[in-house]
Amino acid sequence: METIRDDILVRVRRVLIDSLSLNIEEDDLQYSESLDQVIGLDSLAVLEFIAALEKEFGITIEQEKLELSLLRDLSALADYIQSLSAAPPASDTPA
Amino acid sequence: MIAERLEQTAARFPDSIALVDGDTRISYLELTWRVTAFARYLKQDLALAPGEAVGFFLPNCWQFVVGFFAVAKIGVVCMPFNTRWRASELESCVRRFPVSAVVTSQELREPWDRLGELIPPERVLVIEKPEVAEALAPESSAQADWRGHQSAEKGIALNLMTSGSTGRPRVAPRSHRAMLAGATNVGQAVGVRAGQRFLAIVPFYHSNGLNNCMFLPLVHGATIVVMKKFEPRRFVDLVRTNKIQVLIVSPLILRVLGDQNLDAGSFSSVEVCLSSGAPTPRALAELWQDRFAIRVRQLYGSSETGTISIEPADAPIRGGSVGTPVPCVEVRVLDSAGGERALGEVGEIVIRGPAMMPGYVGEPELNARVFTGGYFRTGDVGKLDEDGNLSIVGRKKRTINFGGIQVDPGEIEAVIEKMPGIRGCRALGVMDRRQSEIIKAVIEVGDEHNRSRREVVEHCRRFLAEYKIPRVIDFVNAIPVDLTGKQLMAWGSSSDELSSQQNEKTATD
Repeated sequence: METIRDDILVRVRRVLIDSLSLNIEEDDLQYSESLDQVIGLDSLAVLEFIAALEKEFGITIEQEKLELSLLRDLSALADYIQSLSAAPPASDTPA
Repeated sequence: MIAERLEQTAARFPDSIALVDGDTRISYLELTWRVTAFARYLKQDLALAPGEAVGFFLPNCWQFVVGFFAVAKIGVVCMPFNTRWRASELESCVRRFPVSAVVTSQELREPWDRLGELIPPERVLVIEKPEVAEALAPESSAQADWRGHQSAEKGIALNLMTSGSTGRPRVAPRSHRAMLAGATNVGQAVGVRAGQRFLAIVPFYHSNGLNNCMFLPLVHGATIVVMKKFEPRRFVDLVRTNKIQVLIVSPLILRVLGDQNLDAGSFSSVEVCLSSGAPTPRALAELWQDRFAIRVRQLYGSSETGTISIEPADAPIRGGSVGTPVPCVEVRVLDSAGGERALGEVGEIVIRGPAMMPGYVGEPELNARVFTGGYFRTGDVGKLDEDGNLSIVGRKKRTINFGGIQVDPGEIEAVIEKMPGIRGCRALGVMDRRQSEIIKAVIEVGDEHNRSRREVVEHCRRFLAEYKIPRVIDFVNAIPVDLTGKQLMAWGSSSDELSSQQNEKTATD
């Protein structure tokens, strides 16, 4: 289970950087770090990030139910995505 | 004048639904009752007088609509504020452009509570408060014959906040007559008719949201279904259940919807789809054509001018095209000396029309620069072809368009330059991988200082709304001299200015 979650974490971080065109190295973004420390969490950014997560993991995230606290922390977000249990295996995604 | 126009529409279609907001459905006749009751409350209980301004700090909701027509009815100016702004941003505006009261909601009121020195608490009209709620929704039509104030044609109905490039917001005023002229002309260009159903998703604090999503349909006896916040599945549900016929959206909304797994018939009721606020990439318009059989038509306009042009329904999809001018709007393309450019030649777009502002409030020097021979200089660069079709190829003015909201680079630079150890900053718009404009800050730091992205974000958050915090932050030892922020940005062409600078580094790394 740990490896699935680790894989989700890596992918969530990459989706964040790619979907918002952030100029950050992946390794420079800590999983426990609050996202609003590195970006402005405006509604457009949240919208784009969620849309990209849904596409990446083939899931549906109800934005109205999504608490902002989940979006602040990549680990919490990865747990949430895992709980939706629709994440395809890591081998489906490019390195 | 505006309020009288609503009453005339209500006299023709009293029982038609004007407004749907969740479970609230308001007919035209009932809307006029509510407008009258709220106007009377503002005038009699708050003693507002013609010429004063009322701030609106609300999401799209029925109370905004009632409030807008109510202030117009007593000759008071509606001044909408972006609901994402922080108290410090609101304060700098209100100090320069005072408001006599603010209409807001319980959820959003917090910044105003901190500005008590400028707006006393009893002037913060929270829509959930019993006396305000009662004035907004009277139980009967007993007050319906109250006349209010007959606004003069040239009287100002709306003060729109717009950003420049110098760190100081500007106010573009629109008269009653200008607003009605704009709605008439756009109505003609689009073919708006009574009973047609609009989805109002563009925020009403935005020129396009207020004028085209709210005012335009209500002038014509159409119905608006308001949406407070974009959420893709709820958007699709609202379109389906209300059989929405007119969509006015932004490229970002089209993109997010295009990414969803939706049926080809999801938007089968839609007759008109206008995309505005930013250029719609050609590939995105083609995707909507192919997947949903919807011709997304670009709408081009500004807070200063109202709607300038719209792509015709039968025009081929062309990157950069913004269509033909709406009726009564004149478009010219000028060279730097003010001479007329030949068809097909690129120059600055200037426009003249009845929906235009008379000039920025309290900015005589600026007004002398932005008007030339009665034409407003848009700051956009483009060309006209022999069919009268206007295309935009770039931008002359120094501004950033983030998701359809104009952001002032000077404001961001001034905030970042307050940080210790920062020698200078340039903020500019760059295209992301999907051809949306995002904010980039290039920051010059002294040799002895390490600065990190996190410090910049934290600092910006103290002074700026979240959406103004730069997404791309670069640290340099010297800002390149040619980085003026006035770079031309192509509408509909690809650009990849981000590619070479993807690493966050401190300047001394």
